[in-house]
Amino acid sequence: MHRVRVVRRTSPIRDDGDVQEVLATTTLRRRARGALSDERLRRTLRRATDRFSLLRGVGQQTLSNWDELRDAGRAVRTRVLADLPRILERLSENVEANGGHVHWATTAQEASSLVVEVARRRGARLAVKSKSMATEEIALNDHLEAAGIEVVETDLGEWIVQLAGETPSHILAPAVHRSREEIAELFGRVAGHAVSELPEDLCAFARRELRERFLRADLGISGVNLAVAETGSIFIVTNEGNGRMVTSLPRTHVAVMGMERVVETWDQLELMLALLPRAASGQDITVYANAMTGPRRAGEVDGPDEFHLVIVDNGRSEILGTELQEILHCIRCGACLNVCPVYRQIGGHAYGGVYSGPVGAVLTPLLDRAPHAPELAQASSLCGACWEACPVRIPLHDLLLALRRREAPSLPRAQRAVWRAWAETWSRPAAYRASVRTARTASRIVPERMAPDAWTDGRSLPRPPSGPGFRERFDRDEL
Amino acid sequence: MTTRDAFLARVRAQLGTDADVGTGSVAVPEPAYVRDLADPVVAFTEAAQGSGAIVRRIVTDDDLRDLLEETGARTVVRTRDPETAAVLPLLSSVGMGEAAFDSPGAAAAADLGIAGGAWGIAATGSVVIDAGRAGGRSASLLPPGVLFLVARDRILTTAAVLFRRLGEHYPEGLPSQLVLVTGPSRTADIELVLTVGVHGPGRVWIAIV
Repeated sequence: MHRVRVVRRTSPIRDDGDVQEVLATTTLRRRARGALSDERLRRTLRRATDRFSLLRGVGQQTLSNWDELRDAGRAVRTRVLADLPRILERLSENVEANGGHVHWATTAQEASSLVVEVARRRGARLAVKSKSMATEEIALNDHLEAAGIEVVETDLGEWIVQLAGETPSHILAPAVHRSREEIAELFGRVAGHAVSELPEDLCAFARRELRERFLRADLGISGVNLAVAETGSIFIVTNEGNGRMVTSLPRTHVAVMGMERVVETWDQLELMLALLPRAASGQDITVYANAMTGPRRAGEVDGPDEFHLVIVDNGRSEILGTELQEILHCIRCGACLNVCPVYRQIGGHAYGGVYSGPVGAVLTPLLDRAPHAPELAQASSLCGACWEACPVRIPLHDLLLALRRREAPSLPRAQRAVWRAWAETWSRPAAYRASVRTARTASRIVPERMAPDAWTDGRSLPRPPSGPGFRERFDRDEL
Repeated sequence: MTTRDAFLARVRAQLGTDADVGTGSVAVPEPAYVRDLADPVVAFTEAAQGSGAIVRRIVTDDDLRDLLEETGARTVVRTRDPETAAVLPLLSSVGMGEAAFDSPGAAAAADLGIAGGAWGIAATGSVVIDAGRAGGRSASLLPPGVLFLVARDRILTTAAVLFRRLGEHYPEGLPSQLVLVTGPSRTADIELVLTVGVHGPGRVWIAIV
């Protein structure tokens, strides 16, 4: 059995922060072992995921038609995807009519290059960013920094992980794996002196530091929670207000969206706004729910002079029209992470990609071609808790099974014959009973422990009942 | 660089032409709140207070003067929303100075931003702000405190009511930014401890006028 060296930090697998690198060079098993041996990480994860799940339950109870809304959410997402080309066309026409610019990116590389090009043309030196999974996915920060542009993450949790040279471990609480002492140490390096460990003092420090950067930045970069095609608007929800800052203060605003993050109409947006914060954190609404339609207008004191929307494919179109299409319904609430018995034990970093939890186990192998990406579909017990929690009812367990089928190696002819024979036998009552009788006799002589391999480790063969079995007792009318 | 047509052609090809798109729109039910929203002003007040805002009903100038004093601000910036005009005659009597809201820097230097709400949303206690009506965004965002003045007859029951009639309310098109603001800026990113005022205002007052 191979042993892994246990590194006593919460980031045993995050030396370089390069997502592709992690999935190319380490296995899920190795990353999971690292996480499982970190007691503090597991305690923190339990607290965070329990808290979010509890809040989600409370949030749903403020409405009497939660399940009806989830059904409608699924129907809306289905319709939007089926009609995606027309809706994206409508979105782009309206964004342009409002004075914005639309860019289309087939690959992650192309998406990042487009943003860098806008930054260069505008002479940008400092970019402030609000939380965006899409920009993580295209590794935008690396590209901007390579072009000599400083990038500052402004979501508090994202800033913390940026200072630590890590990636987010939870979609809602990116720095949930870090203690206040560690955060104070990171902030102390920025300040050049020791800073208080009290959360309110740490927040006040972040406010001062980041405020200065918001006012100085010449490029604001955001994600898009959802775009609304009928008016060419983009919609962003945040609690901290950094989303409003990056879209209001710098003179250029670039928004990056996965091509599926769109609805057609405002009543559809309203539905998603009812589902998303409740599923994410149990809030009826986030502190800021921000709809932007084009750049600043004449006579307004602030707001960007230029607005750019980058629409990213990066492997998404290949999911369309397949049995896995429904993964593109996801609105990134994080509910599936909090209920997943696997995520709750190993946390986000062990998934090795940008997206973690059940949604990440499906999405990462589809978007990322790294050698070890496909095994992420194994990181599930298929219990379906994710499906029950999902506000748009994505059957994540079915999608995980479909992915496993894709990746399953073709078995040798003999082994396939054995499985087929077993299936045939147990499809017939008489043959089934005969086989059970044989198994009863056989199990008295076969050892309880099977030949050791990864699957049998921790499992034992069932023992036959000492008295009469269920069927015998049923036939004798004893039940 | 990918052109729009090439991008969309690929998406179309992948979806297949036999996909039954349908023509009708999907029925979208409105969220049904368990809470009683029959009196929007009462419901709004409850929800806004629940989100951490301080809500006062303003009947007389004295009510508004008391509220201004309660904020403890010395320097204020004001948006051009029509509701904010009500504070003008009172500012000097409570020892406040107004700085012109002509740049984000001016807003950042003020103790208090005073802004009008284009709408109130009773179900969630949200104030809807409109960058066009306000003449800018940062007055309600950068100061450590913000005072929203919301007319009682502009308080709607739910966001659905507003969103389904945006075309009527904004026949000329949507403003550059429309934000639903619900309580003070907050985060729980450090050990899940709720902390207010991390980026936006940590203190929010709402005057129902």
